[in-house]
Amino acid sequence: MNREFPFLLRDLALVLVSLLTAGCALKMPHDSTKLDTMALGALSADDPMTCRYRKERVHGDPNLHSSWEFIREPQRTESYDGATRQGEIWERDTQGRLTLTHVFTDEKVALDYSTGDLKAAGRLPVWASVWSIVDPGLFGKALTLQGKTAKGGLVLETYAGQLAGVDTKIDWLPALKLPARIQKTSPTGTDSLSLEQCWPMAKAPRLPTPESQLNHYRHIDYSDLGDMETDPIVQKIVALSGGHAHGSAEPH
Amino acid sequence: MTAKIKPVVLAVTSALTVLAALPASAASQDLFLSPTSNASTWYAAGHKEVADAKKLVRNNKKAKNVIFFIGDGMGVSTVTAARILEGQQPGIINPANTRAGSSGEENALSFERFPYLALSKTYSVNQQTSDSAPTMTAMVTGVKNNEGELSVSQDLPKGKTAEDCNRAISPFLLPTILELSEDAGKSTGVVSTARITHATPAANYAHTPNRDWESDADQPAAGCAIPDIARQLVEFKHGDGIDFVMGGGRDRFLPNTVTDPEYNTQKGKRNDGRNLTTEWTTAYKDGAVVYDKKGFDALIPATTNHVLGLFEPSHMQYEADRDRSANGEPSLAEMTDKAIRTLKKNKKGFYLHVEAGRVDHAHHAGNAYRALTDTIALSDAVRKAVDTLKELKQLDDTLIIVSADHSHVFTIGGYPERGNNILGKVKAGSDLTLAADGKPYTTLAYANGPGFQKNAPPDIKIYKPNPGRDDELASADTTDKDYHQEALVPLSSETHAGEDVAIYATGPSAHLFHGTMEQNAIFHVMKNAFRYK
Repeated sequence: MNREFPFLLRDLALVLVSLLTAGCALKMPHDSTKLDTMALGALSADDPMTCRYRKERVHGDPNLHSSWEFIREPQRTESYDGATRQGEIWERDTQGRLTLTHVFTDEKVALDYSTGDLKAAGRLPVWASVWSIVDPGLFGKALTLQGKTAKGGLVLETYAGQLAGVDTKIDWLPALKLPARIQKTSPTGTDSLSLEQCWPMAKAPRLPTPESQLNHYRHIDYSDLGDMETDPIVQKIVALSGGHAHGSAEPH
Repeated sequence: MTAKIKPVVLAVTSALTVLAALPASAASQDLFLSPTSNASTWYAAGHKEVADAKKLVRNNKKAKNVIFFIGDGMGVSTVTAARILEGQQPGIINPANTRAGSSGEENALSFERFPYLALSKTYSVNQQTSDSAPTMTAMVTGVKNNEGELSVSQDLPKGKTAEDCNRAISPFLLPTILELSEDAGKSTGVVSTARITHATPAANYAHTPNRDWESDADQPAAGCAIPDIARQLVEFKHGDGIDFVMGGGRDRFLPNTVTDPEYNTQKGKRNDGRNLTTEWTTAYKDGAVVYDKKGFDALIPATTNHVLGLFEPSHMQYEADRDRSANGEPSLAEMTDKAIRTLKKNKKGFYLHVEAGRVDHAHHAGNAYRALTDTIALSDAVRKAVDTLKELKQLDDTLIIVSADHSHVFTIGGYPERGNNILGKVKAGSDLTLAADGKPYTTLAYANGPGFQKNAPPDIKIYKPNPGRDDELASADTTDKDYHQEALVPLSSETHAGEDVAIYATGPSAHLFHGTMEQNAIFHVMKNAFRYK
């Protein structure tokens, strides 16, 4: 059996549900067909860009939504959750090694994961799932093609299937190698992540966090957390990260 | 051939066998066959243990050298499990045994063959279960102190604020065995697979009220009067400075404007603009700074002095993940061997501290495989040290101590039969032993921690711990190097444990380790061995 396969499934599930469950506010409807295809069509996957998504959670009242921003460069991605005010910076070096910095904006803390930390924690994803939010390697496998549409020269592919036992539907923009919409439906409701707009980096309303800003954050290595249980800041970021059973991994 | 293999012989042979890298998964077998034994071989083996003990002669010589090994977080259960895991590898068998492996339990890690053993009480002044700072302080200064503080007395409050980092700490400094050795004209060395500024190695050379002040960027204000730990290493004033330093933690030595020499996406972490690696070679005209295995291999011990090896921006790789290429990292055994050959040039002798620093980190992650393989790497380093000292004819002049700073909540449970894969599920015969909930369980487990991660929370953050049982354990490959054992109490990071740890010793004054001792007594044994006043 190909041992990689279950991990791919898990990686995608992790990313998807992550995006769909962290902080939300009030709901608005969304439709992939309403995308600004002209603006998106002017971009190619290789262009550094910033995209704004809308995250919705419909599990009874009140329905919740929030903004989620994604900045992509060839070897770096950065995401920022408007509700939790936390971000993630993934980087891939010339040897293909991945590192993660989990940014806690309000606390001015950067939690650094080395490649080894990610391996030991069992959380080293495939780069494609980081760079494209979902892993395109799943298309044609766990997620099968349901149809293609084209509007303004922009092709939209729709895939569906089950990931980790959850019905999942993805509208995919092959030209940008990004999802236009991810929807997961479970017995308790629906979570979705919907693309609202993308900008080339030069015109983007949000740019990568500058090093000068991160240099003034307190940097903590993930592997050192176990020795820092009495540190108040560590206690706070662990709680914010859902590190305790009652923490913020629960729906906001 | 009908030779009956005595477990003791097998254990000795095992201990002398160099361990090849373990496979990514040790799961190829569920059960490892036991060496042939019967009542008379067991009796003879036990008798031989006693006969050998009767031959022990106390070594009352003045020690020329002390090598002090620490397995960070290496509690007794970790030693036992690592011993079995090593013994279950294909290379660790008696050559007379033609079977594919040994059952493992009869194996012994290299330091378990040392003649003297004691238990060490690891509590600190203000902690029942301690962290590495006060425990290592106790071992290298002879004085217990408070949580989070390095080689300062309990009267100095923990450093938190800008005011704290400008406090005068000279009245609180505790002299370390390394400093005393430099003052005595000996050579000194510090080797670790953790950041070299991390608590355990740092307690040898640094004095600070906060173990986390590893670089100036970690301190609560710019320009603190108490230097950060990396600076204290480079500006070390005793003797002719520390002669041999190897480990991780490069980013604490480089300014945040300098790109890391190995990772193009990373930079140093210092805010003060100082490049401490260049300051090292400025301070020591005979000094060298190396970053990778290629640079390590190029070092010639006979002509090199004042070595600073920094092989990763943060901690070095786990042994299970270590890059063995020229661009990669040396093993702990290789660093230990190079250190001894560099330090032995001093006719007055040397003090060397060697730490397997990542046993602790893997346990915190709830990942037994990496904790145990790093423990085996420590065993390899101790074996290499013994072999090198024998070659140099200095074994009898060297006190070697192997201990731990604290334990972890790591257990070996159930009633697995002899030879059951130590990373596997508890079995009786070919059947899985089932718990009261009808599910199997693993031999190794944690009392707290992140737990199994198959259904890890779906966020790329610190993951939500999974308490209790893994519903899919029956089909899980628990011997995979990335498997995370079940944990009872859900915590984002598994914790240290408060029970005693072992002290293994051989050489001059080693016989002074006996019974259950306070952890700070270790310093006093080393001091006695060196005959320091």
